[in-house]
Formats: sequence, C-alpha cells, structure tokens
Amino acid sequence: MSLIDQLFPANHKTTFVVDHTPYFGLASNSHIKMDFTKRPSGGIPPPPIFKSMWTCSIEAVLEYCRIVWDLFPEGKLIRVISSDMQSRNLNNWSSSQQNVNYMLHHLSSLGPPAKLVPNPNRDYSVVYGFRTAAEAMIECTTAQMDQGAKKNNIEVQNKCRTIIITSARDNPSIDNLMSMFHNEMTKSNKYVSQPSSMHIHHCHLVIINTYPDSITCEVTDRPPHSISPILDLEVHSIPASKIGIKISNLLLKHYNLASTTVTGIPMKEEQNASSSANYDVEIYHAATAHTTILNANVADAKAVVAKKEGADYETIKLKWCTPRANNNLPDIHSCTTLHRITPVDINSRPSACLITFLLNGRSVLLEMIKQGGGKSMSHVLKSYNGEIYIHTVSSGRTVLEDPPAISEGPGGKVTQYRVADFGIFMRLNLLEPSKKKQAEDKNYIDEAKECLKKQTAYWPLITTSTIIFHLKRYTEPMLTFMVKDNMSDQELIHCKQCVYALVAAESRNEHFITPIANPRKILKREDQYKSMWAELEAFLKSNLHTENHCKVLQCYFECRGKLDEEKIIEKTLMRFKKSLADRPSVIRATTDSPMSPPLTQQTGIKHNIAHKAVDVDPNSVMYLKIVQDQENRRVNPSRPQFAGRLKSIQKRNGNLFAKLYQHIDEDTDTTSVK
Amino acid sequence: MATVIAIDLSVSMIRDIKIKDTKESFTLLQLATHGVNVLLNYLAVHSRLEFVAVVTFSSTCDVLCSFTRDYDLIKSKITQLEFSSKTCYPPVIQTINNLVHSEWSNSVTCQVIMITDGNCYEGLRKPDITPFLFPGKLIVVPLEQVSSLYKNNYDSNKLPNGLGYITSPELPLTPSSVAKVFEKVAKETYVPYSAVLRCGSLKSDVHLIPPPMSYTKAADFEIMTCCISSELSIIGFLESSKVECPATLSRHLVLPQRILDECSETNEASARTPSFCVLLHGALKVENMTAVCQLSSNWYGLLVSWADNKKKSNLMLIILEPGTNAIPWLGDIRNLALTPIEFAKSDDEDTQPIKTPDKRSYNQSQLVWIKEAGLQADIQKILRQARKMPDKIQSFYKVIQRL
Repeated sequence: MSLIDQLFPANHKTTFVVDHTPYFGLASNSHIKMDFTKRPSGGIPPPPIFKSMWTCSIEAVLEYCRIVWDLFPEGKLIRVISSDMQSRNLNNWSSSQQNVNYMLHHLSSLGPPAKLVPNPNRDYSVVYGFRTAAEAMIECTTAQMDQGAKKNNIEVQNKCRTIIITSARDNPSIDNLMSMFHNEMTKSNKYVSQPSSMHIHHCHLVIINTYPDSITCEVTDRPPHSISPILDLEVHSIPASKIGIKISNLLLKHYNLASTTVTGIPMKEEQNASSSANYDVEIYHAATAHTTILNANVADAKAVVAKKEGADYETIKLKWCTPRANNNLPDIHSCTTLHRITPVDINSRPSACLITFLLNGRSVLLEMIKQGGGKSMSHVLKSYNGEIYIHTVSSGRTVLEDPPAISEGPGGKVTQYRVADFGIFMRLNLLEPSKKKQAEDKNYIDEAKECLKKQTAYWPLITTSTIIFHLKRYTEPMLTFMVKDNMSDQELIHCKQCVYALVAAESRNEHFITPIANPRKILKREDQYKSMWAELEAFLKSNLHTENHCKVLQCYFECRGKLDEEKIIEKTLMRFKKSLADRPSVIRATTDSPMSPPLTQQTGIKHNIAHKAVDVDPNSVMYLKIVQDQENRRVNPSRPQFAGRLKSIQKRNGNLFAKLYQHIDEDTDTTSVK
Repeated sequence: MATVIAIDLSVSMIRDIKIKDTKESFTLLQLATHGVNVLLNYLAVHSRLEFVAVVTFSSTCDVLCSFTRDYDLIKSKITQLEFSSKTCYPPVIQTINNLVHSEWSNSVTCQVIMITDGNCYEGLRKPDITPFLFPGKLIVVPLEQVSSLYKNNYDSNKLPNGLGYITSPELPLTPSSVAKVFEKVAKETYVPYSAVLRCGSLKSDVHLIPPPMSYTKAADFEIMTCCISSELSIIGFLESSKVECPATLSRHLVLPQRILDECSETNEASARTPSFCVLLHGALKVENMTAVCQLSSNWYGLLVSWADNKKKSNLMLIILEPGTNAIPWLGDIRNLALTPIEFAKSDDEDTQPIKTPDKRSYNQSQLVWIKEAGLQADIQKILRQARKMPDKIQSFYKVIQRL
C-alpha cells in the first residue's frame, strides 16, 4: 500500500447503527448454562436463560469501542446510533463522549427494546438511523477541522465507515437498505455547510445481518465491493450469539490490528492455590508490531503463526519468559516500535493476572520459538502511567558493532574536562513535563534553548582553562546569579560582595589553589591574579542580560580602576533604561525599593531558612548551598529581599571584606535605590 | 550502515569486451569485479564501519558472503565466480530481503548495489518486483556495450515505488569508465553526515554515523516527510530512568570532527584539543543521564552514552519517531520545560510525569460478558461466596459491587 493510500483512513470516523426495534428484544435462543448448584439428580432444572439479540449486538459494539479506544486514545472516533421509532445518538464526535463509561451510562437510559405494540402512525425501523448516521458523517471532527484550517496542498478527504446491525429477511431487502442508505448520503451531501460539515467522499458500509440462533437466514455474505464512487458495501450474516466474534474479526481489519497470544504464563489455580498451571492470554495491538518477525524468516514465521480457535484470523504465539530480575530489560536502543495493547478477554482470570502483573510496574519478555527450536527475545510488554505497551525488540546485529571509542577520536586525549561541573549543570537543567498550559505564542523549547544559552555564555570546557570556577569560595553565588535571566537587587548585592571578596583576597595576597596544566610552569601570584581578573571580566561581559547584570560589571570596573571601560558600561546601562518602557517586569524589579517590607505571601518556612542563612559565614560552602537552594525554591526570584536582613549579614560576620568595603557597599546600595 | 552488492552471473556476463587501440579484452564479469574492488577500496579509506555482503544471482540467487567488514575476504571471494543460466530479478530481491532481515532486523538502512547486464530498465519495472522490506535504496549499474534501447523508452533513471535508480557507466566500457561510475556511486552514497551539536553556547562539529535518513510517515491526515537539520540543539536533560524504552527509528554514533584548519596538524594534536562532544559524553555517562535534542522543527532525539563492550564507549544519538509525542509517557515534548520554571510548585510531589485523562479498560473494573464463560464465572463466584456467607461477607459485597 503506498503512502497516499494510507491518508484519510475510513477508521477515523465509524458510525454504528444498531437496530433497537422490538424484534431485537427477542431472545437470541442461545442457551446459557446456569445450572451450578449440585442439586440431586431428578430435580427440575432451572429455566434456560437467553440474552436478547439487542444485548448481543450492543455488547459487541461496546467491545469494539473498548478495544479501539484502548489502543488509540486519540484520532479514532466512534458514534453509536440506535433506531426504533426514531433514531437516537448515544454520543457525538467530541472527545469527552468517546469513552465506554459515557456510552454505558447513556445505554442504561435507553433501556431494552420495547415490547411490540402495533402503532398505526409510525413503524419501528432501523431506517430512521440512516439519516442520523449520514448527518453524523458530514459533521466534521475536531481533527478534520484543524486540518482543513491548515490549508495543506492535499484537500482533506472525509472518509468514514458505517456499520449497521439489523435483521433482514433476504438479499433483496439488504439491497433495499443499502439503497436507502445511499440516498440519505447523497441527500446529506447536498446540505453541507462549511466549515462545520463536509462532503462525504467515501463510505465503507458494513451490514451485519443477525438472527436468533434457532432459525436459518436467507441473507448471504458478500465480500467488500464497490456500489458507487462514494460507497463500498460488505455484508455479513451471523447468528446473534456469534456477533461478538464477528465484530472483533472486523475490528482487526478495520484498524489493521494483530493478535498475539502470550503462552505459558505460570499461574496459581483459582480453586487450588498450591498447584500452578500454564495459561495463555490473547492481546490485540497494531499489526506493525509483528512486521519484524514476519519478515525475518518464512520458516520461523510459520512456526509462530497459528489460527485462532473459533475465529478466522491468525494469532502469533509468543512464549512468556519468566523475568528473573527487573534489570534484564533490553536497553533503550534496541526497541524499534511501541504500541498500546489491550487484552481480548478482559475479564478472564489469566488476562487479569497478566494485566495486574504489568500494571504493578513489572515487565514481561516474550520469546519467539523458532522452527529449529531456538529462541529469540522479540517483544517486551511494559506499562507506563497505567497504559500497557508492546515493544518490538530488534534481535538483529547492530551496524554499530565494534565502534571506535570516543577517547580515540578528536578531543579524546584531553583528561581535564569539567565533567563534574557539567553534571551539576545538567542536574540544574532537567526537563519536566510542565503542568502549566502553554500559551499560544510561547514555546518551552525555545525558552529552554535560550536558558541554556545564557548559562553557557562563558563555560570553559577544561579545568585548566579556568580559575574563577575553582574559586567558588569567592565567586559563588555570583557565578550562579550571573547566568540567570533576571537578577534581583539582593542578588546584585551578593554578586558585588563576591567581587569585593576577590579584591580583598588580592590585597591579602592569598594564594589560589588551582589545577596546574603544566607542572613546570607554575604561575606567579601576580600573574595568577591577572589572569583571574581577565577571566572574570570575560565572564561578566558575556552575561549582560539585564541592567543589574551590567551593574556587576560596572562594580568590577570600579574596583579594577578601569574608568574608560566604565563609561562604555554606562552607555549599556542607558540602553537598558531606554528599553525599560516595554519591559514591565524589569520596571517592577527596579521601582520596588529594597527597603520595602517582604511581601505577605512569603511563608514562615522561608523566613526560617533565610534566618539560618544569615547566621552562617557567607564564604562557607554550606552558605552557598543554602543560598542556592533558597533561590531555587523562591516563588518569585526577582522579588527584593528584606533589606534589614541583608545588612545584618555584613554586621554579624567579622569578615574582612565586610569591614573594609562597607562604605562602597552602602554607596552602591543607595545609588541603586535612587 | 550496510551494503549489499548483487552481481549478475548470467551466461551473458562472460562476453568479451575489446578495448579500442589495445589488444586487451575483458569479460563483463571482470569489469564488474573491478568495479566492486574500486568500491571496496573507497570504503576502506572513507567508511571503515560499513558492513558489506555479496550475493550473486542468475535465475537463482546465492549469498556469496554475508555481512562483514573484512573487505579483503570479499575481494578474494569474488575472483572465483561461476556462471549459470539467465538473469532474473524477483528472486534476488527476495533473497536480499531475507538476508537483511535475518541479519539486521528491519531497523538498519541498507544500500543495494546491483551490477547486471540484463535489461534492468525494463526488468526492474515489472509488477512482480516487490519493494525492499527495509529502509534503503537500490543502485543499479548496468554493464552494456551499447546504449540500451530500453533506456530511451523511459525518460528517467528512477525506478518505480521509490526502489532506487540506475546509473550507467560512460561508453565505451573500459576498466576506467567502470571505475569512474563506482567512484561516483561511492562518493554519493557514503557521505559522512556533518552536523553541529549545540548546547546553548557550547558546540562541537560532529559526524553522524551512519548518516541519518529522511523519514516519511503517513499520518491520518497528512504525509510527513522529515529531514534532520544540520544542527542538533540540546534542549535539556532527563534522568535515564525516566526515559525508559521509547521506540527508536535509528541510532547513530556521534563522533567529533577532526579540526582540519592546518595541514600540519596531526591526529595527536586534534586529540588534545578539547571537544564539547567528549565532555558531554563523559558527563552523561557519569550521571547516567540523557540529553534531549531537537533534530528539526517537529523531530526529537536523545543523546546517551553507549558502550558496545566495557572499554569503548561512545556518544550515541537515538532518533525517535517524528512528532512531539514520541515518548507517550512524558507527554508532548513541546510541553517539557526546564525545572527552574516549575520550582514555583515545589510542593507538588507528583511522581507520575503525566496523568492519563481516562484509564484504559483493563485498568478499571469493566465487565464484558460476550463469552459465556465470563458470565458463568461471575455468577459462580457469587454463589460460592453466598454459600460461605458469614466468613466471606466482605468479598461477597465486593463482587456484588463490581457487578
């Protein structure tokens, strides 16, 4: 089948028209054995119990729905219409009504077919449902409307399928039904009004003719054949008790599904828990999950394909492989396809056991027994979020066999990569499904890229090409704050303090311990500071995201006495101020005085953390951690911090830098308030 | 990537071709062998990781040499070939399908290079020619002394159903014209795929091996053809345990490119230049994490550290199914955001990435009584528990509730 043929499949919209006339209220005459009690022989057996033909039909329809919606949660829509004296819709195309529970609820209000009461005004007939079905078919689904709006080169084709379950006397009356249906379709096609409805381009009509088991029927089966350019017809005639099997056979064709039978599942017996027996469970899934094994080797494929008992389709038998530990899963590379599954016989005990096993988070490996008796693992069943999937595992060799190691290639001989730092970077940039609804124009992907870009604006690859990243004692939290989108005034103060700390260290002539690239070439202390300042300048310059970011650089230039550079940064600041008008968030950050009291939303817990932080020496690693954590946890990172708390940091710790540069600190503080 | 070379061994391949102005003459088969050697020599230099298999065909088809990287072995085997009967195309396609499937399953792209003197222009257009069951294409090199009559009947060298194309050597046939066409095929087919691996401002020039292919998929309403852009942008990271096993279309080694700005620079110097690619690999391996990267506007991939054996590990790109729902249990990929944004709701300790809006039928107690046995079992259960009423009263109510 070429790709173009796969476009606009008929299974996107399926309509069931189910006969709800009094005739369908009749018993199917298929006797259900209900004699369980061990009554003494000779007693009167209980009266036989029958399902009505309506029950048989609607059960089959619901089973069809159940399987389709289990396997395709989106995009495969089904409507059910009942017809007696009038037609009734059980649901519509909207996704909220596309589930079995909704249908069950509505069925209960519909009730069983009425007892036959002769009514001269109006007849009971399945025909009333035809118009409703045609109307349903011209109605656009959301997906069809979306596609129509997209204006692709290919025009959206409205292809559908209608399945009629009714009872007809003979072949001519089937033809009659068909032509009535055809008429309704052409009639509806005339009343199409864009965009909410659409011409029916093609419809696949399946008529299932059913009758009580006790009688014979003159209607003969007809394979699919074309009636008119817009209609294909297929007829099946089946006694009521077998309608369920028939419908599941059709289902496999309509949705291109396949059946797998998991064989040899060891299970305790229900009556006798001490002994265990092997059971089989059949599941349905998309047929493509089987492509690999069917293509591989004709003989091997034949060995696993078996005809399903009591039905005319084939199932593939794969053996359950008792999992030893949960770590024997194939790695993520070898899984080639992934499809949802659903058990065929949902209420049977073996199915329920397998499902519970899987839903509890365990996975099942399936083995294919080859013709020669060999085995190969071909599939894995596993559940995620309460949905069970079948994975096809590629059993073949890989072309990537015996690859060159990355350490042999370019850059492979370098040993001083900042692997641990990159690890931290990755942990800070974990992706998580967002619970917030995405705004139309906003895109998380672009946001994420932008965010990564800011964080990596200055990021040396190897340890020997950086000094400031080894001096976290001094440079944190500046390194963290500088790469962020926004910088609050409080964060700005922290950053400035870092710069002052470095100045102080230089004046004390402290020695930096940094990894040495070349042991013969140990840097002199002055050179070390020189290159550190140069690097810091480069780092600050590559992170000028907001006004406050620039202020850090400005502070750096002040300390280093680079006045001409200071003028340049002055210009940058002016530019930021100009653009403030269109950036309300920044305005807020700057207009809010750092002296203003903390906002009332701030919880008590956060207060505690902040106070703890105050007591700790700001140079210690612990402090950094807490500040970082606190920053991460904050509701609004750009909110100014309580000013009094900030001052207490400087007062309480007797650190040199606080004493020495307090006046500068205060100066800048006041300027920023202005 | 893998290659199958199919050599026609029909009797007509024994024909002698006289080379003008010299006394030399070659059989068509000798020319074919020469061409294959040219191809193998090219691979040995430019694409050492390529697996090659050789099949020979006439009215039947045999696998002369299964997939190997030992090109010398292939060269020695193709020197001793025997002729038989006439050219027939359907069996060779069938054999190649089986060969590729039994070796690689269906996840590997495989090139088929066919050397024939039959009338491939017509023969490969017949309706009994089935397409390949694996991703890849057929390149046919016809060895004909005169320009084929059939060639003029078809305006293009493309074969139907996207099977591949025909590329013929220049006439007259000489060893050098044959060598030229094989060189051309090799150069066109075995192009290393260059891309830029980017994470924010960090980047690295890389080769992808095997080259990624464009992918065409028919969705319900449109045919999507996706091509990988030359920039692989990392959009964030995930714990490997959260990724589990999504369906993968293909896998590619990500090897950093050599820096070739100075001719004097040796491999050694290149090996000593830091590469972001190597750093990323190291960090992913140590932290057991996965990087999510965007391949094109609607296509995503994963970068992981992968080891064939214990010693040699490598950075690998796993290409997912196109679309934004390639990992269903993580939801729409476009809806993944970097964590800092989400910290606003740190109290939300939801371990499940996304909640499926409605449960699947097997996850709720739904009843289906289509089969008689199901109904009987349920009623039996009630009766059984009703009999042991005083003890089993709890479970009795449970069953009744379910019904």
